[in-house]
Amino acid sequence: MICQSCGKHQATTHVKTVINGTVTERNLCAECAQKEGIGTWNPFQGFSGFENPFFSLSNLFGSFLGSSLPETVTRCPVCGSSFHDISESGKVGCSECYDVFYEQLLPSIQRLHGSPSHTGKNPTSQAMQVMPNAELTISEQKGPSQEEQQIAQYEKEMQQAIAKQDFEQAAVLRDRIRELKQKGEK
Amino acid sequence: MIHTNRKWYEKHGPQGDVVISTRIRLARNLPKIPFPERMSQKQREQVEAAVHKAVEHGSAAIAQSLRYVNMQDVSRIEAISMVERHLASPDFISQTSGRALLLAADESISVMVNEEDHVRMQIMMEGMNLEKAYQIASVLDDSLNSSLHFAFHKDLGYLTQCPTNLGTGMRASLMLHLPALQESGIMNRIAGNLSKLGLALRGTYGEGTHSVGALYQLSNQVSLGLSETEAIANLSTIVMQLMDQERKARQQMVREVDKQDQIFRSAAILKSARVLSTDEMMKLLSHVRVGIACGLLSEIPYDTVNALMIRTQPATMSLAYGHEDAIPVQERDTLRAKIVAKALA
Repeated sequence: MICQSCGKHQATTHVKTVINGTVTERNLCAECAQKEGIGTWNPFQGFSGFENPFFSLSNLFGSFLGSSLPETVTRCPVCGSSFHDISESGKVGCSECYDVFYEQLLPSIQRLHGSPSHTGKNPTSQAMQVMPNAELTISEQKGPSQEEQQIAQYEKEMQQAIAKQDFEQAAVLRDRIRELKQKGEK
Repeated sequence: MIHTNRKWYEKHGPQGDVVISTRIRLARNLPKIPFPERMSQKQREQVEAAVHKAVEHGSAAIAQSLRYVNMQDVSRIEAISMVERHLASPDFISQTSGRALLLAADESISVMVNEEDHVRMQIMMEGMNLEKAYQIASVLDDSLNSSLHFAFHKDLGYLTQCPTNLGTGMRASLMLHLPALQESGIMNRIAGNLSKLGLALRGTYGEGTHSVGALYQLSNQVSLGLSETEAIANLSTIVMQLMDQERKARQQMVREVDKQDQIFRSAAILKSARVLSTDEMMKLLSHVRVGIACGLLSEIPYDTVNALMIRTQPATMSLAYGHEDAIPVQERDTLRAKIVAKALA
């Protein structure tokens, strides 16, 4: 959607104004919205559109008094979307939004998919990584090496030797295992 | 037709009597950059450049073999033909600025940059080829991910602009030819049952479209909580049942002499008509396909029928015959009739 003010940039802010019962709706880019004093978020002042310097203070009292003063809107730090923008358009602003609005988005995600938990491919797991220049070859699970198999065999024999109280033989095996392990570390 | 480098749509594959083609699509996005709906022109260009570089330096040979096409360098008619050939979506070609397409020579792989998501990889294959198509998609995905580091969340999986694609970001679909089930009038009931199983049955050209020539798209709906393999297995199992029903219904159908007559008449019209609209052709080819499947028209190869369905689409045909604009309808229908007659002769 293109900004209805400058006609150049992508619109990120949806502005709805009600004047004497007439509703006007416009879509503006961040720049034009800022020019008109809409939607620029200042953590201390609420929206810069509100000129009242006591705005935040009155808001604080307002909440005590149960008054319906406008609440502060959370916006995504990456794309500037509010949860309202997302629910209006049905499109999430950026990947960061999923962290920022996680709790609010979760119910609809569960409605869509039934499950909130991913079980498929994970880009960080090495299991699905491919060999460079390989075409359609998914790297096989690496089996134990010959040395590792030999060590396992010696360990088994050593346990048997200990069980038979054949400590001499156990010591020989122990040294062989040590030797193989050192070789493997090099 | 050049046979040395045939496109996927000029071939037929496993279960080719019912399944025309397989499509696997993976949606991916770059972290820290707004999704396409909220991107600035500069960010579009950034993403385009990053994907271009990732493809060129990709670890997998298939990534390196892709041709990069800046959509602004593509003529209108070429762009429409890309949609007809299932390489790009109608939405993708509606705005060409800041968009690019990566394409394999046989057109089985295409990557849309800055469509609904930053990256949309698509693998198209003839017949029922879900596992193989996914394998290729996954190799391509790994190759691009090594430099792009796609946005991923431990619970929500791959992050996408539309929450319907969260999780695997995968949509697996099959183009099915279901003339007998369509004729028995139970398609709506079937579609209703399929949606309960997490699958969507749609018209020929996707959501909200009608079925042309008894062609339907069947795809998975759920992408979160099911792995890629599970989603594919689920789709395969159900499609096997659907295929079984379709085949039984066809056997029943072709016993009637009226139906046999319709099949042979359709072949005759296709072979000798002088003017042929797309709709009429698609309808007649549908009858011919049933004839091939039931052994009545075994001399016609599926490959020919499949290729005609794409090659005679308005923009693709105009382009193949060296026209820079779409050929006027009347002229086009005459040309189509010639192409079809020649292919079936």
